[in-house]
Amino acid sequence: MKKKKIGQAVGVILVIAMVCVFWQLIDYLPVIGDPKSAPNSHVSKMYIVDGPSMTHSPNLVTGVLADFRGFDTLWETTVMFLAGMAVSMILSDKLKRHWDASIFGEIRTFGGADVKAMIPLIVPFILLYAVYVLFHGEVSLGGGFQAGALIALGYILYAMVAGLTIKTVKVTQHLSICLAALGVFIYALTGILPMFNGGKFLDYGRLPFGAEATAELHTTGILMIEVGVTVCVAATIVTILEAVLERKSLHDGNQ
Amino acid sequence: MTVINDFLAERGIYMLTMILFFLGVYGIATCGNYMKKLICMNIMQVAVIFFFLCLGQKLGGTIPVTVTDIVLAEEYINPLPHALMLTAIVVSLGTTGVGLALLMRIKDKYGSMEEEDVIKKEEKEL
Repeated sequence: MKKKKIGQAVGVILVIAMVCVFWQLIDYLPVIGDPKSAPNSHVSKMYIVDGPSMTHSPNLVTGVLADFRGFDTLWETTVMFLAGMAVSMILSDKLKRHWDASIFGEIRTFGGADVKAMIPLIVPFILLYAVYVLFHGEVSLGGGFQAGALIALGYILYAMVAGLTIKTVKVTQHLSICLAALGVFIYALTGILPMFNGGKFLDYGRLPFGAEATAELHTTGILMIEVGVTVCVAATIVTILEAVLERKSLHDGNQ
Repeated sequence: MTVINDFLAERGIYMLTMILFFLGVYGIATCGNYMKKLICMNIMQVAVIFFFLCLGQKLGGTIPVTVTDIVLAEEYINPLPHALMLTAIVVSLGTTGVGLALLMRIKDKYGSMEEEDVIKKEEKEL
């Protein structure tokens, strides 16, 4: 008990010291909303003015993410894939064959609506919205990461809230890891394809699809890597969920 | 009063993100439960994301999607922090997943997630 009090006191002193340091430095931070402040003036002007003509993508965020920083996003996607694989490897010591929904206890009904009947009606609309977000990532707001999270949300609603299993395809964690790897592969393939046509890595203007217009090729390239990111993110979230559900938990007893 | 008002309008949001960030630091330093430590780490990540998004703000700026009749760079908010933080949010999801998986193993091995119990049991084994 005494040790805990000392720890708390040290924590408070540490936090106060850091607050003092921050308070001294707050005048160096730029004023909020000032168009002439340092983060808004140097390179960001170039991204905004020249970005649309260089990337052929009206959405500046997607232009930065997929074109200027395409190499960076490739490794971010790989990090997601590795995180899913790490979770699956950490939790692989007590696998059971396939999870059943009974671990969530009895399925409750909310205000008269039966969850098992309602969720399959809602999920198609969530998936439709995810596809909308994915294909609008380049011309307006949206993108691959968000679409992947939405698709995974549909699966989580289906599996966790309603306690349903997909009958036609059994989504195990191994299948979803393979899907995440496929997403990274689509992304890397989009990067490598222009190299056969005399371009550089992720040089969308040199994609060997026969189209003449550079804008069209840029749109195709950005869409391809967005699809890769979507597949990877969705599959990784499903992997994390499945890795937890496919493990023998304390409540299962000695099966 | 105008001094305080000006300060809050110009740099007030930094104070809020600072409070959020140091709330996370304090929690990591003092909480004895590994689950709470993980939650505090997430709060710190959210504070960092807020901080970056504050830097991209512009007065009177619109969303960073190009429209034909707006050409000046001052009219759009800065897209760079948004592009950087978009990936940071998703990666924080991955790291939280790995952390939770490790917590499940700790709970299995030691039967508890309290730091004291884990240390006590470890010392007993030695």
